[in-house]
Amino acid sequence: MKAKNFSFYFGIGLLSFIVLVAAFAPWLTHYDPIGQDLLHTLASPNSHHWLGTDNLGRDVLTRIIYGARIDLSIGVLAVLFPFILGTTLGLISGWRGGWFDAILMRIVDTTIAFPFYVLAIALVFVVGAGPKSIIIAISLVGWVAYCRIIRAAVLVAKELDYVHAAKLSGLPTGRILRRHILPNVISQAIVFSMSDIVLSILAIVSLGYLGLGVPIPTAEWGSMIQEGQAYILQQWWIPTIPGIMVVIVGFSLSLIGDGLVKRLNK
Amino acid sequence: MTSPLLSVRDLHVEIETNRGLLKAIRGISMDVNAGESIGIVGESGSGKSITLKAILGLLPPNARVTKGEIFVEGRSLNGMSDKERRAILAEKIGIVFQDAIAALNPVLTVGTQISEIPHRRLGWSKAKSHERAIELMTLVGIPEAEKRLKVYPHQLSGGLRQRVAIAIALSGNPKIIFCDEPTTALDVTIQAQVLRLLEDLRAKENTGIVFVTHDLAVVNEICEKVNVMYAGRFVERGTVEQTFQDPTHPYAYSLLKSAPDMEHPVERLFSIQGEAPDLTKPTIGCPFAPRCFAASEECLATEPELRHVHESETACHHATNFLSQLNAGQA
Amino acid sequence: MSDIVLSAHELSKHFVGRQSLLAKVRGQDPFTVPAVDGVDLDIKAGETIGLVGESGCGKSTLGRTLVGLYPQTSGELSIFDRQIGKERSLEERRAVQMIFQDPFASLNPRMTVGNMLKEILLFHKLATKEDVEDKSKELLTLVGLPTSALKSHPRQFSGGQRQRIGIARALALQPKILIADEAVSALDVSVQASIVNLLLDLKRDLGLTMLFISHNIAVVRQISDRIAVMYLGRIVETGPTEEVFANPQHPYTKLLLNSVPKMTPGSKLGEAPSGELPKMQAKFVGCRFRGRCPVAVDACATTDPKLLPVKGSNNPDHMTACLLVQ
Repeated sequence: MKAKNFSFYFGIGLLSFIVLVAAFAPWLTHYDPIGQDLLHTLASPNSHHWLGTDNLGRDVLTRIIYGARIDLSIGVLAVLFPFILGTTLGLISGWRGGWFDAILMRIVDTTIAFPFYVLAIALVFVVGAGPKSIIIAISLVGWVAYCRIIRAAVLVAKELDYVHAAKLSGLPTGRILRRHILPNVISQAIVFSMSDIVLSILAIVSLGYLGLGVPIPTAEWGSMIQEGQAYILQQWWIPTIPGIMVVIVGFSLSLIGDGLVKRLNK
Repeated sequence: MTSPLLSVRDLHVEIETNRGLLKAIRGISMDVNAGESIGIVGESGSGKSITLKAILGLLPPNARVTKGEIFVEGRSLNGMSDKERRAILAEKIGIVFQDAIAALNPVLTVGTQISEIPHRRLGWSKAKSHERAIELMTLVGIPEAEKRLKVYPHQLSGGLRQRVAIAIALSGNPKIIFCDEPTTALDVTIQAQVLRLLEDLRAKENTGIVFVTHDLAVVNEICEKVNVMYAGRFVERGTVEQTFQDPTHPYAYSLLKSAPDMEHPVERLFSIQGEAPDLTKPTIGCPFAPRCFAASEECLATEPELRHVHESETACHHATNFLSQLNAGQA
Repeated sequence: MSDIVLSAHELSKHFVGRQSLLAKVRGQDPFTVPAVDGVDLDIKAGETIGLVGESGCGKSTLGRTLVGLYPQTSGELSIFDRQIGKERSLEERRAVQMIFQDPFASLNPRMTVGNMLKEILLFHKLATKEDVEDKSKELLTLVGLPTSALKSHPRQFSGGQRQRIGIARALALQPKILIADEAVSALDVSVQASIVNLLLDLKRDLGLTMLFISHNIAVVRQISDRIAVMYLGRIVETGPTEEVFANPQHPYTKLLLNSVPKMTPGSKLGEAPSGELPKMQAKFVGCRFRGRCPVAVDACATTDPKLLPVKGSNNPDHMTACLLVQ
């Protein structure tokens, strides 16, 4: 019991720390994340550059912190849109059933079968590289999971007697969905969204690594790994630290997710 | 005097819950003799099912027996290895659960499941076990036994499934059958058939039956003796006839009066005030006292032990005069 | 005539199975289960009718069809002489309310009791924003709960208390008729007794009309003025409770009453009835009970018995659907 609570709060603490540091970046570091300093390239960690500098003399710590801004905010946005869209469609689909449900589920099946990275790469070519196309690409695919989770939960919830009671008291459908069904099915989607943020950050980083993400020189963990991999044998920290950051964010989100499962299902 | 088939002495069980340590069974003793049918009645949370599970060593991992001794035909199970104990219990005691569909293996045919114990445990040949399975199915009243051996549990109706479960319980020739709410999930007409079957088995095979249920009327019809359970203890025990006629514990009285009687409807059912005590907290005095119409200072201070009153045993300080208290209260 | 609150005539609810396109093209009949199959039932103001039967007999489906959770397949249903169509008006919905079996599934776990009552009281304009709290407190007092319950969530209550909340919710809409579907079946005996008593009090004080559906025949006897026995989608016997218990006419009613374990000290198990509830069929020919019936005659295989007054009974309300006693 106590241990579970600890890991939940530990996850929240860890994530809040990263978020706060990212939010107050300009106050915490006086370096420019894209400002080059060609006199001090590839420096080892020292008192001026805690995590050293990269091949263009940019402060790695500063780039990590500014990178967190980009990666976390895109990660959250890329989950928020599919969350809202998928939840709404799942609610309607589960409640109404019939032709609406049948058509939607076929769309869902098709979307699942579609390879994500191929879609993302295609979009990058159409819309152009950058946060917008990443968010669109992830949203186009991501809503499916929320839709299925919510739909399945609605199918169960709509047969529960408290929903029957709400129907019998003549309440309009919108009200029943909003007040009686949604609050009781949303928890599973929230829990899933925690791991989904991890997945979408991973997707952003992967796209950045492939050079299809946020255009350089903007600080972003994925492109940092990609740019730094040439130096992995000598200045190993340049590509490794951004990778570790992805792992830490993922870890804290999964702790939060686990804690939420316990709390929301009470 | 021969020792009883099963004898339980001062059994205590504690369950680890997230609200703390729950004292589910707080000292239970009972004897089961051949051909005897004993009912254990109580409401949910009274510990009646846990009692059976504790005796059989089927407690969930968060529960454990903290005290007490169990004897099978005079032999104490304390100090035996797990394997030995399980072998003895499996040989002497058969079990029938409430939910037959969960108790039966869905991927094995009925015949395989009934012949499993004779074949595996008793070491009978396949042919002999098969014959035994047919014999058992006929015994529990399954028509066309030979054909039904090859079906799977889900192909049978609820009543037939419970008969199969009883056949499995009987397959090791047990001396005692434990029944944990075996008819609660069944319709009344099917319940009547299953009860009849159990009663016939008892009479024919001299099997001892321990019948756990919340249904007083069922106990009335098939048991000779009854233990009324409340908050992890037996508060009254005696013959069914005596207890149903003349209960000596206010809880037993209240329970009997709160159950509607099909033959004698009353103006108003008796309802018990309050709720059962939280057994994660220490009980002081009689656990029923806060809900009891006859409770006195003494009841709130000391918990009564079972003692002989008339023909029954009862754990109440006011066993002989509680009814006058009730009448005085109503007047 | 106006003292009949609810009247069902030839009411049926058939569940139709899904059908593949191929089967549709071939013109095959879809698989149907006639859970309720031609039920006639009149419920008078102020009376409690007990509906008994074994699982699968259609008693719950009948209850759910009457409240409108299932649309009827055929037949007529009227409330106070007003015909009810497949779509119910708000007022028609309000008129028939239900108490459910499972005290844990019947209350929204994320809503306080106060919000639950407030929502429906305000929606139906049975209270104003100013007096809604008073009205809610009145309802709680009516069902024997402390008014402090308003601020609590369902999980803070025991099963019996939740059942009281469910009753308060149903009463909030001032229904003309209350349908209790196994409302005390999930409760312990002592709690069950207090809910039965509460329903009897409400009936006496508010003149409540109620259809009490239960498999527990002893409880039904305790609570009902009239009783209706259902078998495979049909009502096979109905009449004043005392009359039916003292003088059951239909062979199924006799079998059912005999099977109930008795509380009388010294009562011992009788002969067990034989047979099992047969599977529902899409269509029945003749009497549905004849396969289990100990007294069936040839005519039972061909004639579908109608629910008619018992021949020779001095009580015209006592009716049965058996060729042998009509």
